[in-house]
Amino acid sequence: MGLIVPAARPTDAELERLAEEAAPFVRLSLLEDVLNLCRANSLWPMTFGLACCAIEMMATGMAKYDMDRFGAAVFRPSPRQADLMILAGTISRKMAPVIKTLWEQMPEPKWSIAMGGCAISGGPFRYPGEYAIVEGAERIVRVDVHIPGCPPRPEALLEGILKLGDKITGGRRLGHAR
Amino acid sequence: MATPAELAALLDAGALTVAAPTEHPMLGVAESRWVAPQRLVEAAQWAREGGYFLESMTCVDRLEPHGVFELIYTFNRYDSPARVALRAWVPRGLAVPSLAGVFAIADWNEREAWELYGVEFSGHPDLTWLLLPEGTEFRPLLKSFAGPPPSSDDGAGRPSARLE
Repeated sequence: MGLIVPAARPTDAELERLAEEAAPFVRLSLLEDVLNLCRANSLWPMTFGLACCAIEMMATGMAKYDMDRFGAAVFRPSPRQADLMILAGTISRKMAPVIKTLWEQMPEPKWSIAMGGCAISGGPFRYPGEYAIVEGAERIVRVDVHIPGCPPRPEALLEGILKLGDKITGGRRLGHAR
Repeated sequence: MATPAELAALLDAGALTVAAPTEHPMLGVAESRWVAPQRLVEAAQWAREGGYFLESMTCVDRLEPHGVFELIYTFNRYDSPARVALRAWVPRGLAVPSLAGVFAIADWNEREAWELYGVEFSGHPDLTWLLLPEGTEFRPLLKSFAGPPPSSDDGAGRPSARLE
């Protein structure tokens, strides 16, 4: 009856070599990858529009462009249930504290998309001496994807959501569909 | 329901107003009247009884003449011809009687004029900021405005950029 006799304690160098040999077969980060795949394919945006870009966002959710194809059209009326904030429009100084509060109320992991020129940099409202506009969403929240346009077309918003999915999964998502 | 001409005659008969020029085809204002700020409430009551509603309120920072504010109240109704404008010159620092007790919408119109121009309204139920953040000190639609002071918040917790 053969017993597996433990060898002497391996040296650090041996351990490193073993880890290298096993790397193609053992993926300790697999669970996180699976979770990220789920997150990227079921982004729940917050029901939240700031200006005219929100009209394009609504159009993106409707039948013609159908955000649901990418799992991202389950607009949630509460920040507690949302993991994506689409900053669609001009951010006024009066609105900035509200947006910060909503962003902080969203549970991690969470992402945000700055949609259109206003949310990226203040857009046409950015000029010396302006008094009412926050010059870019990045000044108040963390932004993952910027979508240029004034306003961006629904295709651009879809592309932004797919890009965000790529960012979440590391770029291995929807390879067959792109 | 009084026509604009009838309402204007009523206003004039009450020694409330003086005719002001108007360009009806271009502006759509059938009758335009000057009124003293102290008699605005009375004039608005005439308009209300005549079947009019307060369509809009405009404030102009007039450097010429005398550096006054010009307040333009436009009244409207659903028949044609419709619009009647009341214009008042308000010296800086004079409190204008609020029309919020006659037309409820004047509440917000006056808040806007107050926060953007600094026109004071007496008897207003709640004269606070409508469009600008609470606590804003500057009056951005004044002709003398040259950008927010650096002490004001830029919305992200940093000082505002000044107009160079």
